[in-house]
Amino acid sequence: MSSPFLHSGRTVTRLMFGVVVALLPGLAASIYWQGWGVLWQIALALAAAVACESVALRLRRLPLAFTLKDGSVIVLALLLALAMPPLAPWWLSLCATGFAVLLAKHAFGGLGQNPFNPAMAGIVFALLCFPRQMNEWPALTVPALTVAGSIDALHAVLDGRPIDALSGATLLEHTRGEARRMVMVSEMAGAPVFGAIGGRGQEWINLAFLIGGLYLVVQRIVSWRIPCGVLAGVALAATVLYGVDDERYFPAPLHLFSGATMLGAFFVATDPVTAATTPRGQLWYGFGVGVLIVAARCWGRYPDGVAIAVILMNALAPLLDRWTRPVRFGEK
Amino acid sequence: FAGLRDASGLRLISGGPMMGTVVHDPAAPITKTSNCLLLVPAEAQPRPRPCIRCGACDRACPMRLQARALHDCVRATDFDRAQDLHLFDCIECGCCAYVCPSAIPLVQYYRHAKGVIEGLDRDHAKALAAAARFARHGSRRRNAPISGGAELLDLPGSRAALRADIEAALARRDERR
Repeated sequence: MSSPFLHSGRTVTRLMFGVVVALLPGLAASIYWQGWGVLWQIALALAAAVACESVALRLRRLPLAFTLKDGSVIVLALLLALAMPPLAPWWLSLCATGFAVLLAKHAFGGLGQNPFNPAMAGIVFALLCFPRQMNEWPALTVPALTVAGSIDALHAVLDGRPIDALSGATLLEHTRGEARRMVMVSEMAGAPVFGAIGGRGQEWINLAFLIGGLYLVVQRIVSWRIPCGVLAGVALAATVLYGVDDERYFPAPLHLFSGATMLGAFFVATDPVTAATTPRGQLWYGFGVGVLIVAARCWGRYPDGVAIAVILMNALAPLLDRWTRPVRFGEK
Repeated sequence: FAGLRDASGLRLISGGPMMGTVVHDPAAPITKTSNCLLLVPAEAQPRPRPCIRCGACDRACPMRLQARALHDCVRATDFDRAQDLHLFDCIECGCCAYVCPSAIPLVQYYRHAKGVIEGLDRDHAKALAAAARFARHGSRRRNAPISGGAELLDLPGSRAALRADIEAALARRDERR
Protein backbone atom coordinates (compact mmCIF):
# COMPACT_ATOMS: atom_id res chain seq x y z
CA MET A 1 0.00 0.00 0.00
CA SER A 2 1.67 3.15 -1.13
CA SER A 3 0.76 6.83 -1.46
CA PRO A 4 -1.28 8.55 -2.81
CA PHE A 5 -4.27 7.20 -0.95
CA LEU A 6 -6.73 9.18 -3.03
CA HIS A 7 -7.95 8.87 -6.59
CA SER A 8 -9.73 11.40 -8.76
CA GLY A 9 -12.44 8.92 -9.72
CA ARG A 10 -11.98 9.65 -13.43
CA THR A 11 -11.56 6.13 -14.68
CA VAL A 12 -11.14 4.74 -18.19
CA THR A 13 -14.75 3.55 -18.03
CA ARG A 14 -15.99 7.07 -17.31
CA LEU A 15 -13.84 8.59 -20.07
CA MET A 16 -15.21 6.10 -22.58
CA PHE A 17 -18.76 6.78 -21.38
CA GLY A 18 -18.08 10.48 -21.93
CA VAL A 19 -17.03 9.75 -25.51
CA VAL A 20 -20.24 7.79 -26.10
CA VAL A 21 -22.32 10.70 -24.74
CA ALA A 22 -20.42 13.14 -26.96
CA LEU A 23 -21.16 10.97 -29.99
CA LEU A 24 -24.93 11.22 -29.45
CA PRO A 25 -25.61 14.53 -31.28
CA GLY A 26 -23.64 13.35 -34.29
CA LEU A 27 -25.39 10.01 -34.11
CA ALA A 28 -28.81 11.68 -34.07
CA ALA A 29 -27.87 13.88 -37.04
CA SER A 30 -26.54 10.86 -38.93
CA ILE A 31 -29.80 8.99 -38.40
CA TYR A 32 -31.82 12.05 -39.44
CA TRP A 33 -29.90 12.52 -42.70
CA GLN A 34 -28.88 8.97 -43.53
CA GLY A 35 -31.75 6.91 -42.24
CA TRP A 36 -32.10 3.89 -40.00
CA GLY A 37 -29.20 2.12 -41.68
CA VAL A 38 -26.89 3.93 -39.24
CA LEU A 39 -28.60 2.26 -36.29
CA TRP A 40 -28.45 -1.16 -37.91
CA GLN A 41 -24.74 -0.70 -38.58
CA ILE A 42 -24.19 0.24 -34.94
CA ALA A 43 -26.13 -2.77 -33.69
CA LEU A 44 -24.15 -5.06 -35.99
CA ALA A 45 -20.78 -3.56 -35.12
CA LEU A 46 -21.50 -3.54 -31.38
CA ALA A 47 -22.56 -7.18 -31.32
CA ALA A 48 -19.61 -8.25 -33.45
CA ALA A 49 -17.10 -6.17 -31.52
CA VAL A 50 -18.21 -7.43 -28.10
CA ALA A 51 -18.20 -11.01 -29.37
CA CYS A 52 -14.72 -10.68 -30.90
CA GLU A 53 -13.40 -8.94 -27.79
CA SER A 54 -14.76 -11.72 -25.59
CA VAL A 55 -13.13 -14.38 -27.74
CA ALA A 56 -9.82 -12.51 -27.74
CA LEU A 57 -9.91 -12.02 -23.97
CA ARG A 58 -10.72 -15.67 -23.43
CA LEU A 59 -7.83 -16.72 -25.67
CA ARG A 60 -5.47 -14.33 -23.87
CA ARG A 61 -6.75 -15.55 -20.48
CA LEU A 62 -7.65 -12.06 -19.32
CA PRO A 63 -10.51 -11.29 -16.92
CA LEU A 64 -13.59 -11.00 -19.13
CA ALA A 65 -16.05 -8.82 -17.22
CA PHE A 66 -13.39 -6.48 -15.79
CA THR A 67 -11.76 -5.84 -19.17
CA LEU A 68 -15.03 -5.52 -21.11
CA LYS A 69 -16.16 -2.92 -18.59
CA ASP A 70 -13.47 -0.46 -19.72
CA GLY A 71 -15.83 0.41 -22.59
CA SER A 72 -13.09 0.78 -25.19
CA VAL A 73 -14.64 -1.83 -27.45
CA ILE A 74 -17.98 0.00 -27.40
CA VAL A 75 -16.33 3.24 -28.54
CA LEU A 76 -14.44 1.27 -31.19
CA ALA A 77 -17.68 -0.23 -32.52
CA LEU A 78 -19.50 3.12 -32.52
CA LEU A 79 -16.71 4.91 -34.40
CA LEU A 80 -16.42 2.10 -36.89
CA ALA A 81 -20.18 1.97 -37.50
CA LEU A 82 -20.38 5.75 -37.94
CA ALA A 83 -17.57 5.64 -40.48
CA MET A 84 -19.22 2.83 -42.46
CA PRO A 85 -21.74 3.62 -45.20
CA PRO A 86 -25.15 3.18 -43.52
CA LEU A 87 -26.33 0.68 -46.10
CA ALA A 88 -23.15 -1.37 -46.33
CA PRO A 89 -23.90 -5.11 -46.44
CA TRP A 90 -23.81 -6.92 -43.10
CA TRP A 91 -20.82 -9.11 -43.95
CA LEU A 92 -18.69 -6.05 -44.72
CA SER A 93 -19.50 -4.63 -41.32
CA LEU A 94 -18.61 -7.90 -39.65
CA CYS A 95 -15.32 -8.19 -41.59
CA ALA A 96 -14.28 -4.67 -40.68
CA THR A 97 -15.20 -5.11 -37.01
CA GLY A 98 -13.49 -8.47 -36.76
CA PHE A 99 -10.34 -7.10 -38.35
CA ALA A 100 -10.43 -4.07 -36.06
CA VAL A 101 -10.88 -5.97 -32.79
CA LEU A 102 -8.91 -9.15 -33.45
CA LEU A 103 -6.02 -7.97 -35.62
CA ALA A 104 -5.69 -4.22 -35.12
CA LYS A 105 -6.32 -4.34 -31.37
CA HIS A 106 -5.66 -7.69 -29.75
CA ALA A 107 -2.91 -9.01 -31.99
CA PHE A 108 -0.84 -6.06 -30.79
CA GLY A 109 -1.64 -6.57 -27.12
CA GLY A 110 -5.06 -5.07 -26.55
CA LEU A 111 -6.05 -1.75 -25.05
CA GLY A 112 -3.12 0.65 -24.82
CA GLN A 113 -0.75 -1.36 -27.01
CA ASN A 114 -2.16 -1.02 -30.51
CA PRO A 115 -0.04 1.25 -32.73
CA PHE A 116 -2.92 1.99 -35.13
CA ASN A 117 -6.42 3.17 -34.36
CA PRO A 118 -8.41 -0.10 -34.54
CA ALA A 119 -11.64 1.45 -35.86
CA MET A 120 -9.80 3.22 -38.68
CA ALA A 121 -7.71 0.13 -39.40
CA GLY A 122 -10.99 -1.74 -39.87
CA ILE A 123 -12.28 0.98 -42.20
CA VAL A 124 -9.07 1.03 -44.24
CA PHE A 125 -9.17 -2.76 -44.46
CA ALA A 126 -12.74 -2.65 -45.80
CA LEU A 127 -11.87 0.25 -48.11
CA LEU A 128 -8.93 -1.59 -49.65
CA CYS A 129 -10.74 -4.91 -50.03
CA PHE A 130 -14.25 -3.75 -50.96
CA PRO A 131 -13.97 -0.23 -52.41
CA ARG A 132 -17.26 -0.41 -54.29
CA GLN A 133 -19.40 -1.33 -51.28
CA MET A 134 -17.59 1.20 -49.10
CA ASN A 135 -18.52 4.03 -51.43
CA GLU A 136 -22.26 3.52 -51.69
CA TRP A 137 -23.86 6.16 -49.55
CA PRO A 138 -27.58 6.85 -49.25
CA ALA A 139 -29.18 9.61 -51.26
CA LEU A 140 -29.34 13.09 -49.84
CA THR A 141 -33.08 13.35 -49.53
CA VAL A 142 -34.09 13.21 -45.91
CA PRO A 143 -35.21 9.60 -45.46
CA ALA A 144 -38.54 8.99 -43.82
CA LEU A 145 -37.86 7.84 -40.29
CA THR A 146 -40.71 5.40 -40.17
CA VAL A 147 -40.94 1.78 -39.11
CA ALA A 148 -41.23 0.80 -42.76
CA GLY A 149 -38.10 2.83 -43.51
CA SER A 150 -36.19 1.00 -40.79
CA ILE A 151 -37.24 -2.35 -42.22
CA ASP A 152 -36.23 -1.21 -45.72
CA ALA A 153 -32.83 -0.23 -44.36
CA LEU A 154 -32.51 -3.56 -42.58
CA HIS A 155 -33.32 -5.35 -45.84
CA ALA A 156 -30.71 -3.28 -47.65
CA VAL A 157 -28.10 -4.20 -45.04
CA LEU A 158 -29.01 -7.87 -44.96
CA ASP A 159 -29.40 -8.36 -48.71
CA GLY A 160 -26.16 -6.60 -49.43
CA ARG A 161 -27.84 -4.71 -52.26
CA PRO A 162 -28.70 -1.10 -51.51
CA ILE A 163 -32.10 -0.05 -52.81
CA ASP A 164 -31.51 2.15 -55.82
CA ALA A 165 -33.84 4.85 -54.67
CA LEU A 166 -31.84 5.13 -51.49
CA SER A 167 -28.34 5.24 -52.87
CA GLY A 168 -26.66 8.28 -54.33
CA ALA A 169 -23.45 10.21 -54.32
CA THR A 170 -22.16 12.37 -51.50
CA LEU A 171 -20.51 15.69 -52.15
CA LEU A 172 -16.99 14.30 -52.10
CA GLU A 173 -17.85 11.49 -54.51
CA HIS A 174 -19.95 13.65 -56.79
CA THR A 175 -17.28 16.33 -57.14
CA ARG A 176 -14.70 13.64 -57.64
CA GLY A 177 -16.60 12.19 -60.55
CA GLU A 178 -17.21 15.65 -61.98
CA ALA A 179 -13.57 16.61 -61.64
CA ARG A 180 -12.60 13.49 -63.53
CA ARG A 181 -14.83 14.68 -66.35
CA MET A 182 -12.94 17.98 -66.21
CA VAL A 183 -15.89 19.97 -64.89
CA MET A 184 -14.70 23.18 -63.24
CA VAL A 185 -15.50 23.91 -59.63
CA SER A 186 -17.41 27.05 -60.57
CA GLU A 187 -19.62 25.01 -62.91
CA MET A 188 -20.36 22.47 -60.22
CA ALA A 189 -21.92 25.06 -57.93
CA GLY A 190 -25.66 24.65 -57.66
CA ALA A 191 -25.54 20.88 -57.87
CA PRO A 192 -27.93 19.35 -55.35
CA VAL A 193 -25.08 17.86 -53.34
CA PHE A 194 -24.04 21.29 -52.05
CA GLY A 195 -25.49 22.64 -48.85
CA ALA A 196 -25.09 26.03 -47.23
CA ILE A 197 -21.43 25.50 -46.36
CA GLY A 198 -20.45 21.91 -47.01
CA GLY A 199 -22.03 18.81 -48.47
CA ARG A 200 -25.81 18.80 -48.18
CA GLY A 201 -26.82 17.00 -45.00
CA GLN A 202 -23.21 16.27 -44.18
CA GLU A 203 -22.71 19.82 -43.00
CA TRP A 204 -25.30 19.25 -40.27
CA ILE A 205 -23.81 15.90 -39.31
CA ASN A 206 -20.42 17.55 -39.09
CA LEU A 207 -21.86 20.38 -37.01
CA ALA A 208 -23.40 17.88 -34.61
CA PHE A 209 -20.07 16.06 -34.26
CA LEU A 210 -18.42 19.43 -33.69
CA ILE A 211 -20.80 20.11 -30.80
CA GLY A 212 -20.11 16.70 -29.29
CA GLY A 213 -16.40 17.24 -29.81
CA LEU A 214 -16.49 20.58 -28.02
CA TYR A 215 -18.14 18.79 -25.09
CA LEU A 216 -15.19 16.35 -25.05
CA VAL A 217 -12.71 19.23 -25.03
CA VAL A 218 -14.57 21.16 -22.32
CA GLN A 219 -14.77 18.01 -20.19
CA ARG A 220 -11.04 17.51 -20.84
CA ILE A 221 -11.67 14.00 -22.04
CA VAL A 222 -9.53 14.78 -25.07
CA SER A 223 -6.79 17.36 -25.40
CA TRP A 224 -7.78 20.48 -27.38
CA ARG A 225 -4.50 20.38 -29.28
CA ILE A 226 -5.25 17.47 -31.59
CA PRO A 227 -8.64 18.67 -32.94
CA CYS A 228 -7.27 22.21 -33.29
CA GLY A 229 -4.30 20.82 -35.20
CA VAL A 230 -6.55 18.79 -37.48
CA LEU A 231 -8.89 21.67 -38.26
CA ALA A 232 -5.95 24.03 -38.82
CA GLY A 233 -4.29 21.47 -41.08
CA VAL A 234 -7.44 20.98 -43.15
CA ALA A 235 -8.12 24.72 -43.37
CA LEU A 236 -4.55 25.64 -44.27
CA ALA A 237 -4.01 22.89 -46.84
CA ALA A 238 -7.40 23.54 -48.46
CA THR A 239 -6.83 27.31 -48.55
CA VAL A 240 -3.39 26.94 -50.10
CA LEU A 241 -4.72 24.56 -52.77
CA TYR A 242 -7.74 26.77 -53.42
CA GLY A 243 -5.41 29.75 -53.75
CA VAL A 244 -3.25 27.87 -56.25
CA ASP A 245 -6.11 26.72 -58.46
CA ASP A 246 -9.69 27.61 -57.54
CA GLU A 247 -11.08 25.70 -60.49
CA ARG A 248 -9.76 22.32 -59.32
CA TYR A 249 -9.80 22.55 -55.55
CA PHE A 250 -12.46 23.49 -53.01
CA PRO A 251 -12.32 26.21 -50.35
CA ALA A 252 -11.66 25.34 -46.72
CA PRO A 253 -15.23 25.48 -45.29
CA LEU A 254 -16.33 22.87 -47.77
CA HIS A 255 -13.58 20.52 -46.63
CA LEU A 256 -14.27 21.23 -42.97
CA PHE A 257 -17.98 20.49 -43.25
CA SER A 258 -18.09 17.47 -45.50
CA GLY A 259 -17.14 13.84 -45.23
CA ALA A 260 -15.95 12.72 -41.83
CA THR A 261 -13.81 15.77 -40.99
CA MET A 262 -15.34 16.59 -37.59
CA LEU A 263 -15.78 12.96 -36.58
CA GLY A 264 -12.11 12.42 -37.44
CA ALA A 265 -10.84 15.58 -35.78
CA PHE A 266 -12.61 15.19 -32.43
CA PHE A 267 -13.23 11.47 -32.03
CA VAL A 268 -10.78 9.49 -34.15
CA ALA A 269 -7.53 11.46 -34.19
CA THR A 270 -7.86 12.07 -30.44
CA ASP A 271 -7.70 8.38 -29.55
CA PRO A 272 -5.02 8.66 -26.85
CA VAL A 273 -3.52 5.24 -27.45
CA THR A 274 -2.48 5.93 -31.03
CA ALA A 275 -1.95 9.71 -31.00
CA ALA A 276 1.11 11.70 -29.99
CA THR A 277 1.21 12.49 -26.27
CA THR A 278 3.49 15.50 -25.83
CA PRO A 279 1.81 18.94 -26.14
CA ARG A 280 3.76 20.08 -29.19
CA GLY A 281 3.67 16.57 -30.61
CA GLN A 282 -0.12 16.62 -30.43
CA LEU A 283 -0.32 19.87 -32.38
CA TRP A 284 1.95 18.54 -35.09
CA TYR A 285 0.15 15.21 -35.12
CA GLY A 286 -3.22 16.91 -35.59
CA PHE A 287 -1.82 19.21 -38.23
CA GLY A 288 -0.42 16.25 -40.13
CA VAL A 289 -3.78 14.47 -40.00
CA GLY A 290 -5.50 17.58 -41.34
CA VAL A 291 -3.09 18.07 -44.23
CA LEU A 292 -3.25 14.39 -45.12
CA ILE A 293 -7.07 14.44 -45.11
CA VAL A 294 -7.05 17.17 -47.76
CA ALA A 295 -4.25 15.48 -49.68
CA ALA A 296 -6.09 12.14 -49.68
CA ARG A 297 -9.30 13.83 -50.83
CA CYS A 298 -7.64 15.80 -53.63
CA TRP A 299 -5.16 13.28 -54.96
CA GLY A 300 -6.11 9.97 -53.37
CA ARG A 301 -7.99 7.06 -54.89
CA TYR A 302 -10.90 7.28 -52.45
CA PRO A 303 -13.38 10.11 -51.94
CA ASP A 304 -12.64 10.54 -48.23
CA GLY A 305 -9.29 10.13 -46.54
CA VAL A 306 -9.82 10.54 -42.80
CA ALA A 307 -9.11 6.90 -42.02
CA ILE A 308 -6.01 6.80 -44.20
CA ALA A 309 -4.72 10.11 -42.82
CA VAL A 310 -5.16 8.93 -39.22
CA ILE A 311 -3.45 5.59 -39.87
CA LEU A 312 -0.48 7.30 -41.53
CA MET A 313 -0.04 9.76 -38.67
CA ASN A 314 -0.40 6.93 -36.12
CA ALA A 315 2.77 5.53 -37.59
CA LEU A 316 4.52 8.87 -37.07
CA ALA A 317 3.26 9.48 -33.52
CA PRO A 318 6.15 7.79 -31.63
CA LEU A 319 8.67 9.79 -33.66
CA LEU A 320 6.80 13.05 -32.94
CA ASP A 321 6.83 12.19 -29.23
CA ARG A 322 10.59 11.73 -29.38
CA TRP A 323 11.20 14.97 -31.25
CA THR A 324 8.99 17.10 -29.05
CA ARG A 325 10.07 15.98 -25.60
CA PRO A 326 9.01 18.71 -23.17
CA VAL A 327 11.52 20.36 -20.84
CA ARG A 328 11.21 19.64 -17.14
CA PHE A 329 10.53 22.26 -14.50
CA GLY A 330 13.51 24.59 -13.99
CA GLU A 331 15.34 23.45 -17.12
CA LYS A 332 16.36 25.97 -19.75
CA PHE B 1 -3.80 6.88 19.00
CA ALA B 2 -6.66 9.09 20.17
CA GLY B 3 -8.19 6.30 22.18
CA LEU B 4 -8.16 3.93 19.24
CA ARG B 5 -8.52 0.37 20.43
CA ASP B 6 -9.41 -1.69 17.40
CA ALA B 7 -7.68 -0.70 14.13
CA SER B 8 -9.21 -3.46 12.04
CA GLY B 9 -10.76 -2.13 8.86
CA LEU B 10 -9.00 1.18 9.36
CA ARG B 11 -5.75 2.57 8.05
CA LEU B 12 -3.48 4.95 9.91
CA ILE B 13 -1.53 7.30 7.64
CA SER B 14 1.23 9.61 8.74
CA GLY B 15 1.86 12.66 6.58
CA GLY B 16 -1.21 13.42 4.51
CA PRO B 17 -3.25 11.59 1.90
CA MET B 18 -1.02 12.26 -1.11
CA MET B 19 2.50 11.63 0.18
CA GLY B 20 2.02 9.97 3.58
CA THR B 21 3.06 6.52 4.64
CA VAL B 22 1.03 3.81 6.30
CA VAL B 23 1.67 3.38 10.03
CA HIS B 24 1.28 -0.30 10.72
CA ASP B 25 1.36 -0.11 14.54
CA PRO B 26 -0.73 2.56 16.31
CA ALA B 27 1.85 2.47 19.13
CA ALA B 28 4.44 4.04 16.82
CA PRO B 29 5.51 7.45 18.16
CA ILE B 30 5.20 10.69 16.28
CA THR B 31 8.32 12.72 15.64
CA LYS B 32 9.17 16.35 15.08
CA THR B 33 8.53 15.92 11.34
CA SER B 34 5.09 14.31 11.69
CA ASN B 35 2.67 16.92 10.42
CA CYS B 36 -0.54 15.00 10.20
CA LEU B 37 -2.10 11.70 11.16
CA LEU B 38 -5.07 10.33 9.26
CA LEU B 39 -7.33 7.47 10.19
CA VAL B 40 -9.30 6.37 7.16
CA PRO B 41 -11.25 3.28 6.16
CA ALA B 42 -8.85 0.77 4.61
CA GLU B 43 -10.25 0.77 1.10
CA ALA B 44 -8.52 -1.35 -1.45
CA GLN B 45 -6.81 0.66 -4.16
CA PRO B 46 -8.70 0.40 -7.45
CA ARG B 47 -7.55 -2.39 -9.69
CA PRO B 48 -5.15 -1.05 -12.34
CA ARG B 49 -5.98 -1.25 -16.04
CA PRO B 50 -3.48 -1.03 -18.90
CA CYS B 51 -2.10 2.44 -19.64
CA ILE B 52 -4.08 4.16 -22.41
CA ARG B 53 -1.38 6.80 -22.99
CA CYS B 54 -3.84 9.61 -22.29
CA GLY B 55 -1.06 11.79 -20.85
CA ALA B 56 -3.06 12.94 -17.81
CA CYS B 57 -0.03 12.09 -15.64
CA ASP B 58 2.27 14.24 -17.81
CA ARG B 59 -0.09 17.19 -17.49
CA ALA B 60 -0.45 16.72 -13.72
CA CYS B 61 3.29 16.52 -12.97
CA PRO B 62 4.49 19.69 -11.16
CA MET B 63 8.07 18.91 -12.22
CA ARG B 64 6.87 18.56 -15.82
CA LEU B 65 8.41 15.13 -16.14
CA GLN B 66 7.19 12.60 -18.68
CA ALA B 67 5.43 10.38 -16.22
CA ARG B 68 4.06 8.06 -18.87
CA ALA B 69 7.42 7.50 -20.56
CA LEU B 70 9.00 6.92 -17.13
CA HIS B 71 6.37 4.30 -16.36
CA ASP B 72 7.15 2.56 -19.65
CA CYS B 73 10.90 2.58 -18.87
CA VAL B 74 10.43 1.17 -15.39
CA ARG B 75 8.16 -1.57 -16.66
CA ALA B 76 10.77 -2.44 -19.28
CA THR B 77 13.50 -2.24 -16.54
CA ASP B 78 15.28 0.29 -18.75
CA PHE B 79 16.69 2.23 -15.79
CA ASP B 80 19.29 4.13 -17.83
CA ARG B 81 16.58 5.68 -19.94
CA ALA B 82 14.52 6.39 -16.82
CA GLN B 83 17.45 8.44 -15.51
CA ASP B 84 17.72 10.23 -18.86
CA LEU B 85 14.07 11.18 -18.33
CA HIS B 86 15.08 12.67 -14.94
CA LEU B 87 13.54 10.02 -12.70
CA PHE B 88 15.39 11.48 -9.71
CA ASP B 89 13.66 14.85 -10.13
CA CYS B 90 10.39 13.11 -9.20
CA ILE B 91 9.22 14.41 -5.82
CA GLU B 92 6.72 11.57 -5.36
CA CYS B 93 3.86 14.03 -4.87
CA GLY B 94 1.37 11.47 -6.19
CA CYS B 95 -0.45 13.81 -8.61
CA CYS B 96 0.15 11.43 -11.53
CA ALA B 97 -1.35 8.45 -9.76
CA TYR B 98 -4.26 10.60 -8.52
CA VAL B 99 -5.34 11.56 -12.04
CA CYS B 100 -4.51 8.28 -13.80
CA PRO B 101 -7.75 6.95 -15.31
CA SER B 102 -6.28 3.46 -15.36
CA ALA B 103 -5.50 3.75 -11.62
CA ILE B 104 -1.88 2.73 -12.15
CA PRO B 105 0.18 3.12 -8.93
CA LEU B 106 2.76 5.27 -10.72
CA VAL B 107 4.56 6.52 -7.57
CA GLN B 108 5.12 2.93 -6.52
CA TYR B 109 6.83 2.28 -9.87
CA TYR B 110 9.08 5.32 -9.48
CA ARG B 111 10.02 4.47 -5.89
CA HIS B 112 10.86 0.94 -6.92
CA ALA B 113 13.04 2.17 -9.78
CA LYS B 114 14.83 4.67 -7.54
CA GLY B 115 15.57 1.91 -5.04
CA VAL B 116 16.89 -0.40 -7.73
CA ILE B 117 19.06 2.32 -9.26
CA GLU B 118 20.47 3.31 -5.85
CA GLY B 119 21.28 -0.36 -5.16
CA LEU B 120 23.01 -0.67 -8.52
CA ASP B 121 24.95 2.55 -7.86
CA ARG B 122 26.08 1.25 -4.45
CA ASP B 123 27.25 -2.00 -6.02
CA HIS B 124 29.05 -0.02 -8.70
CA ALA B 125 30.78 2.20 -6.12
CA LYS B 126 31.84 -0.87 -4.12
CA ALA B 127 33.24 -2.49 -7.24
CA LEU B 128 35.19 0.68 -8.10
CA ALA B 129 36.63 0.86 -4.57
CA ALA B 130 37.65 -2.79 -4.72
CA ALA B 131 39.32 -2.27 -8.07
CA ALA B 132 41.30 0.70 -6.72
CA ARG B 133 42.32 -1.27 -3.63
CA PHE B 134 43.50 -4.17 -5.75
CA ALA B 135 45.51 -1.83 -7.99
CA ARG B 136 47.23 -0.26 -4.94
CA HIS B 137 48.01 -3.71 -3.54
CA GLY B 138 49.57 -4.80 -6.81
CA SER B 139 51.76 -1.72 -7.07
CA ARG B 140 52.97 -2.19 -3.44
CA ARG B 141 54.04 -5.74 -4.20
CA ARG B 142 55.79 -4.72 -7.38
CA ASN B 143 57.72 -1.91 -5.62
CA ALA B 144 58.89 -4.05 -2.65
CA PRO B 145 62.66 -5.12 -2.75
CA ILE B 146 63.18 -8.65 -4.03
CA SER B 147 65.47 -9.75 -1.13
CA GLY B 148 63.15 -8.14 1.41
CA GLY B 149 61.63 -11.43 2.54
CA ALA B 150 64.75 -12.80 4.27
CA GLU B 151 65.56 -9.54 6.11
CA LEU B 152 62.04 -9.29 7.40
CA LEU B 153 62.41 -12.69 9.06
CA ASP B 154 65.34 -11.51 11.23
CA LEU B 155 63.66 -8.38 12.52
CA PRO B 156 62.45 -8.39 16.13
CA GLY B 157 58.84 -9.42 16.24
CA SER B 158 59.30 -11.65 13.24
CA ARG B 159 58.21 -15.26 13.37
CA ALA B 160 61.66 -16.67 14.22
CA ALA B 161 62.19 -14.14 16.99
CA LEU B 162 58.77 -14.87 18.42
CA ARG B 163 59.53 -18.57 18.41
CA ALA B 164 62.86 -17.92 20.25
CA ASP B 165 60.98 -15.82 22.86
CA ILE B 166 58.49 -18.64 23.37
CA GLU B 167 61.29 -21.21 23.75
CA ALA B 168 63.02 -19.00 26.32
CA ALA B 169 59.84 -18.54 28.34
CA LEU B 170 59.18 -22.27 28.34
CA ALA B 171 62.79 -22.90 29.54
CA ARG B 172 62.33 -20.39 32.40
CA ARG B 173 59.13 -22.14 33.46
CA ASP B 174 60.88 -25.52 33.50
CA GLU B 175 63.70 -24.06 35.67
CA ARG B 176 61.21 -22.72 38.26
CA ARG B 177 59.68 -26.17 38.70
